[in-house]
Amino acid sequence: MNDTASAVLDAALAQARGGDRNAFAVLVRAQQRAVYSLALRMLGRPDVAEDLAQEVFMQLYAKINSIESGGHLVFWLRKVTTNRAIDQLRQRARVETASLKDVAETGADDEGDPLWQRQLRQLVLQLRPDARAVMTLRYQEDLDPTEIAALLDMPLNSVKSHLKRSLDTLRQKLSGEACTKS
Amino acid sequence: MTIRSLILAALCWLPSAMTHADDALVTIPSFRSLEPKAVSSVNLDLGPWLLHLAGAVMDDHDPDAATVKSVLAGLKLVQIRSFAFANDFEYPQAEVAELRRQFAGPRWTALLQTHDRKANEQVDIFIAREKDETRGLALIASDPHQFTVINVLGAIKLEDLPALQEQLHIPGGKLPRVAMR
Repeated sequence: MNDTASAVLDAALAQARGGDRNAFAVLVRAQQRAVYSLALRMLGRPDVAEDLAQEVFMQLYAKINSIESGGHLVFWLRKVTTNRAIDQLRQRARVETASLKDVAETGADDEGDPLWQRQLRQLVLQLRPDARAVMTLRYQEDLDPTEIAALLDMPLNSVKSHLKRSLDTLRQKLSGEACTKS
Repeated sequence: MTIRSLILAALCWLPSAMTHADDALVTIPSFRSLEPKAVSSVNLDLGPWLLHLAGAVMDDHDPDAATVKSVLAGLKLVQIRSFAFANDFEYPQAEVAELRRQFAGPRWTALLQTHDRKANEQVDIFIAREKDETRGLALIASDPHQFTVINVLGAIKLEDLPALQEQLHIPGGKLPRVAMR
């Protein structure tokens, strides 16, 4: 976030804390893409991600007076979005995405799947909720392990362990040959 | 207006916010309507999440992969449109020409432009720079049977393009390769 964007966010936040609904709408518009894309990457379904984004912003409205700054707002939104997504994933009775077998079978088709983008999307959706959150925060939000640990209230070593194990898993599932031949 | 309806109103254009249009220096159409007619096609938008994750899973010990990893680390967006057809000019030439016109703006500099009028082949490579830093690179190649558009946002050098192109398995990639010689 650059200085101008940060100043706009701080100003809108101050007005929203004073009860200005238009200022709150400005905050929603400024952060909707970040919240939605994080939810979508975690949950894998646009409709579910949209619902989650709505709930996150409803919660933000209720808690707006506890948000201290634009930076705090971004941190808070990431934290609440990620934790709500993890809760939803844990509640799901079954995995809704393709089975691991399906993904393994598509592994040989890297010619039609540049950068293994289709397989990577599927494989990340099959990681356990905590690991998926760590990977999403690392590679989508570009947070470092220390920031992820703070956001998820998770020990730093656990974050590092999730990252290593998840990357190892992805490399294995991408059938090794596709990754190593480059 | 209740707060929920206010939030809904603010969120109503969410899916379109995911198109990376804010990030792109130019607007690249999806050309989805061409897919049924094409004998082969690639239509991809790769955002930073996927680019950085793909870089992370590449083998650190492979020198070729190391080059691509370093390229991917500096990128924010890669858009690829590549369509090949059985017959001449089954694609809308006007739209491809319009794409080329977008790069006539002040942000872009033409690095290479070749035009073989007899064979109806044209290759253009443009670069966007700000404060001595590369912000983007674009390639548009067309002949009667196919066209390829590659729009890369981020820090990329011209010499990185072939490695990236190979990694992306772009069909019809021979035209850009000819241009790189």
